[in-house]
Amino acid sequence: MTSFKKYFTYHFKSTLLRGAVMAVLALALTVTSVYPDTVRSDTEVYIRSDISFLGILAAILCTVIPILELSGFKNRRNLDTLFFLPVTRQKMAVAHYINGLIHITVISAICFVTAALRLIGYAEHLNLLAMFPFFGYTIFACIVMYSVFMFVFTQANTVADGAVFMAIYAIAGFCIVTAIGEITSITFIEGSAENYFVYSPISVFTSEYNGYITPTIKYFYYDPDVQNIAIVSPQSLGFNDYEAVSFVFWGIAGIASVLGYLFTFSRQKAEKAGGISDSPFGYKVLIPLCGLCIYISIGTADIMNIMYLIAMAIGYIIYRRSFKLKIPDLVVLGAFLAFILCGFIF
Amino acid sequence: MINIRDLSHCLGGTKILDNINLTIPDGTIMGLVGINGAGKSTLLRLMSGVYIPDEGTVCYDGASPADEKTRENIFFLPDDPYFTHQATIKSMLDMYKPLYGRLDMDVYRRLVSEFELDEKKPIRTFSKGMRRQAYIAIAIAIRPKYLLLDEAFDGLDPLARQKVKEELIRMVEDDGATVIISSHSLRELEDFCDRYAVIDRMTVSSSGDISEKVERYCKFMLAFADDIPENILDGLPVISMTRSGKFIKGVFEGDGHDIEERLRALAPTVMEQMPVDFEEAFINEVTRRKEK
Repeated sequence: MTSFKKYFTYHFKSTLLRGAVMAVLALALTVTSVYPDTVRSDTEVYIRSDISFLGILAAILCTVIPILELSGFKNRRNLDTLFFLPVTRQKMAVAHYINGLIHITVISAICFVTAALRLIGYAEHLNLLAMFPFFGYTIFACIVMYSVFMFVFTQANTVADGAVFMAIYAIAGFCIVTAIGEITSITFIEGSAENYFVYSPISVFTSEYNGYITPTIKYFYYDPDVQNIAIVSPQSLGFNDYEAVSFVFWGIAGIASVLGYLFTFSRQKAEKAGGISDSPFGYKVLIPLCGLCIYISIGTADIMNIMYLIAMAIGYIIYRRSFKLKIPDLVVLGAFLAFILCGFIF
Repeated sequence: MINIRDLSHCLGGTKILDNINLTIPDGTIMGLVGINGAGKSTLLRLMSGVYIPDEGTVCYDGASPADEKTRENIFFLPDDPYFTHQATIKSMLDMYKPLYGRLDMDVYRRLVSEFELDEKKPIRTFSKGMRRQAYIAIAIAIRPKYLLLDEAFDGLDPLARQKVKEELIRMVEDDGATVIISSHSLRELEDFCDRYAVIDRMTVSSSGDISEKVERYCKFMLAFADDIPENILDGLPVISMTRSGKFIKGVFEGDGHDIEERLRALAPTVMEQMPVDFEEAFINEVTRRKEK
């Protein structure tokens, strides 16, 4: 057995209980969240079901599992017992990546099967076969989200910073695209910003398939004029151009994230674990970049300038874990104040 | 053989080790000594592959510790090993067992039994010394060719210390293993180490055979009938000196016989040569360097 197989087998076995607990929790939530809902009108009986929980679950798994897989590498004492093992860091990184992906796939599959079994008695009303492509697309979206979060979490030196990075990266794409749209005024870019949230691939697939899997189920509302149930036409499956372009973007982002994750993991400095997260993909770029993008997108009022300044200062205090201002901080602060002053004068 | 060449490393922007050059022959037990913060633990982490050196190389029989084949022969026991809340000795062993083909279960069982450890009890419930014993049992059972121990005796009772020393000596004699052990207890190291390296001011200030190191120094106690002039030992290679009334105790660097002759010329009423231990030699060396 190769060293990779040995390490992977050990890691897989040691995380089996964790995976089982998560699967049981996910299963319980699926059973309570996905159920056939009978709606009766005067003349007909309709069956509907909301399967969007499966998408939400996939998003939760893709957020939580990177933290669980990699948090051990943010502890210096733990690295002392891991990084001398006869397994290269690259193999270790791959083992953790694959293990997390197996957990996501298996737990998602269990929940999809459970959801399908909950609804199978009403197969004549539902397009249950579409659960298969929905599962396939969900896994694609999961791989993208999971890869991005694995890369992002590896940039941090502490678990808390990793979680903050994940939160910032979740909105960073949206902020940047919105700012670009604001500057260029290109309609396509302006209209597509919402597809660049990290969770957008899964939310797009889920909302499309939720309408597609239940085609005979109409949306009901009480029309006050007729005092009866009105029926809205069923949805059809279709992704718009904004979504199609964003899928290509997320596909490339997923591949780049995997490569970035492997590169960063195999070169990470054990001595930095638990220290300040000074990665170029971390606070020192994210804080000014996101601050600037938000400023371009919505902030024009004077009070907003002050709020940005305070928010970015808080961000830098979190980053440096200190209230002490260094020379680069003073330079940036001075430039920012000068920028605001110019705004007041001109 | 371990070869360390031009090794330098920074931690948080501060240089910790600078231009370390050290050769450790196979089949030796080497004591790594230095004051607090000298960089002993950093050096062991660089040697084990936990840290990637900023500059320089560490080679085990010509191979880098980055190579996993080389690492199969290395085991590093840090001063404060991590364990999860539910970890037991058995679960720790489960991690190492598949990765180290040479792990000897008989040795493991014997040591666990001799240290009277319960392998199914969570490690968190163990005392500091028991934790140390547990990890040492695993480290020795793995039978690595190169064993790197950081503050291995910290927290061990005298019986356990003796047991560990015997086991390490047995590893070296039976398997030809090389043990590098950092410790502040120099008297302990002197008991069973055959070589030493002093880390001082970011580099290896001296290294070699412990007995040769100790032989470079001699200690004399002298008593005089009259008051002792301030400059009585001027011209002699004095390393340290303590005065108490009409008594002088001095440590000298150089040949014992030659020093004895020169001291006799001072006409002391009593003169006695005393043994110098490794700790004194170390303190003298580090103090002298600080004074410079």
